[in-house]
Amino acid sequence: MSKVKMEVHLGPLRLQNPVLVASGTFGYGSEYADLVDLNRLGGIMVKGTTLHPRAGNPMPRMVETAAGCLNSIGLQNVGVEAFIREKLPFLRQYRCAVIVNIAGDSYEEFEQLAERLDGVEGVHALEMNISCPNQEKGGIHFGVDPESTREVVRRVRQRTRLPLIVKLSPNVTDITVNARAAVDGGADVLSLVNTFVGTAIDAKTRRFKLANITGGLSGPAIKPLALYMVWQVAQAVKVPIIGMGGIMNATDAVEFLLAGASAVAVGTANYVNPRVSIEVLEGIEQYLREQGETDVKHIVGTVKRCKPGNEF
Amino acid sequence: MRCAEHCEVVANRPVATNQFEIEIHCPTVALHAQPGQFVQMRVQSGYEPLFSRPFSVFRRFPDRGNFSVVYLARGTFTRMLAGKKPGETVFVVGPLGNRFSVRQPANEMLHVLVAGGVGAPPLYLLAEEMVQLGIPRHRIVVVNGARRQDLLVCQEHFAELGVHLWAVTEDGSLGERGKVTDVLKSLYQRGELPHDRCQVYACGPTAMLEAVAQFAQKHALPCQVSMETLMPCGLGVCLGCAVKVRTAEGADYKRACVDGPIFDATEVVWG
Ligand SMILES: Cc1cc2nc3c(=O)[nH]c(=O)nc-3n(C[C@H](O)[C@H](O)[C@H](O)COP(=O)(O)OP(=O)(O)OC[C@H]3O[C@@H](n4cnc5c(N)ncnc54)[C@H](O)[C@@H]3O)c2cc1C
Ligand SMILES: Cc1cc2nc3c(=O)[nH]c(=O)nc-3n(C[C@H](O)[C@H](O)[C@H](O)COP(=O)(O)O)c2cc1C
Ligand code: FES
Repeated sequence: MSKVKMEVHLGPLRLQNPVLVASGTFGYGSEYADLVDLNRLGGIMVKGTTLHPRAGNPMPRMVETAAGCLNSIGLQNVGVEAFIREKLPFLRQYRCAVIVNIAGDSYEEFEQLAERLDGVEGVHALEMNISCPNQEKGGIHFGVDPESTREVVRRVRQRTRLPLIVKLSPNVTDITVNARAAVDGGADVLSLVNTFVGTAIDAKTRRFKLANITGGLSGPAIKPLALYMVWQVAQAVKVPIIGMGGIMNATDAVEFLLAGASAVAVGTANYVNPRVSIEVLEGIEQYLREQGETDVKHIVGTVKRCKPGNEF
Repeated sequence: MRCAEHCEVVANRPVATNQFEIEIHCPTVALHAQPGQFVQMRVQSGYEPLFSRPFSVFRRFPDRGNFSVVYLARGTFTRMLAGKKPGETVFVVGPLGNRFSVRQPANEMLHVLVAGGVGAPPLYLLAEEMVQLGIPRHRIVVVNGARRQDLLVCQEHFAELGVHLWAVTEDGSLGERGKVTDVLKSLYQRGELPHDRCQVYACGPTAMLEAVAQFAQKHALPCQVSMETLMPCGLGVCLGCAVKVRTAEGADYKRACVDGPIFDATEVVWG
């Protein structure tokens, strides 16, 4: 069987293949290590990390919805110091890239996180999660206001030499505006999408199903929305894109590559089938062989417009 | 050792009203599952429902490489599961979670297993292990409760083990009338639950667990409870299964799927 080239370069970040696992859906890797060969993944985007440990939001904080789920976990995590001390040594044993997803409530928190992780052995890139509430600006989200996006990315850019991935929020009118702002600020790579804000109500009890009222929607339900956003942003900016949102199998992943993503991240699907990321990787390789392609790079952004059909 | 694989259904038979025992060929779970542990199962290929569902391991047949669970067909997934025929497959991840811990010195202890409805299966596995460990059968007390006789599960299995068995139904259709805690109370009043040599293990609906935990606390009986929460991943990753607990530093969340499902009853913040 002919080998297809799977290595991808996302700006300064090299990945052995384009399949990543999305932040918050794969823990710190160790949880899956006996079920998934971590050496085969392109990379692991670790759980959102903050400066200090966080306990997260009250229960219930997750509900299943039609072809998806809403979560309001609230960035429960061990904090950056414990991450470096307790979680990173395990991840260093593996070949795959380790991308640390960072989140802060203020510019300073983002700056401190970037500075702390810069040069730490085993950290290959940072992914900025800029859809957290910005307390400085009275509840406006960093990722929603393009000026704040540019500013927070610019500040982090000055504090780290690591490849910088900026994860965009889909909860905006025109995502290309925020994409351009992130690139202006110095993003090497964009990842999209994060979850869509939504809610769920129990008609019988007349209550919201989440203690927090709202949560982030992920899973197959958001795939068409995410795919469109990836395509839009691919038209608007030159930097590489990591596409995600409802990828459940290899075909879904290929669609993101065709839309213009250079790599993909599997999220909620990891909960459904812990081995899905490997199945996605193998499925992309098989697709490329079937299509007579020799390099995964060759299909990125090659989606064509459909031909108008016969008129009825 | 745990697995994530498609496994063959060996049998799927009714055991009580709307309740079934499904036997599955899965050597990893058959060999390694401990009392209180569970598996995540998935039968659907589409996205409705999206997530797998957790089920406690009921019986293990290591020589055949099979295990079984007892389930109540109550919603989308469990109704689909009820439709599974021998020869078809289910996707199984497991065994998962921690286990009931049997405190030593085991022989001098009285082990009180309190089951509510489909909470009984993991307690059967525990009772079976206790018998195999050589704990005298009269020191294993099982209080098996349900709303009605036709909803009571595992009764004959407990009976076959020869343990000290109480049936309790809310309508009195079998055994004592009332709730499991009523039986606990009367045992206590008769001096049959010595607080210094007694260990309570409970599995069932959350309201029952809370009542049992309160009873245990009031009488200073050590008590382990198996917590039921929604478990999207079962692997400790999504944090959707969090249980509020007391720690030395104040309230915190633990994950029912990996830090549990078995918790010390005094650790859990109820309500
Ligand atoms: C560790 C663990 C072990 C379990 N072991 C068993 C077992 O051995 N046998 C068994 O029958 N069930 C067991 N359960 C519960 C089982 O997972 C639920 O019955 C199942 O998720 C229902 O799925 P469904 O799609 O059929 O129902 P849904 O359509 O999802 O729900 C139907 C009804 O059940 C309620 N429900 C759904 N999930 C749960 C849950 N996790 N806890 C409480 N109520 C729920 C819903 O609120 C709704 O009222 C266990 C749960 C846990 C956490
Ligand atoms: C339970 C849960 C927790 C998440 N936590 C984070 C997080 O900490 N940081 C982050 O940037 N994204 C987080 N995400 C978003 C995912 O990384 C991903 O962007 C989103 O779920 C869309 O992909 P999917 O539909 O494949 O899951 C989380 C998603 C879920 C479901
Ligand atoms: S079910 Fe996902 S962390 Fe427990």
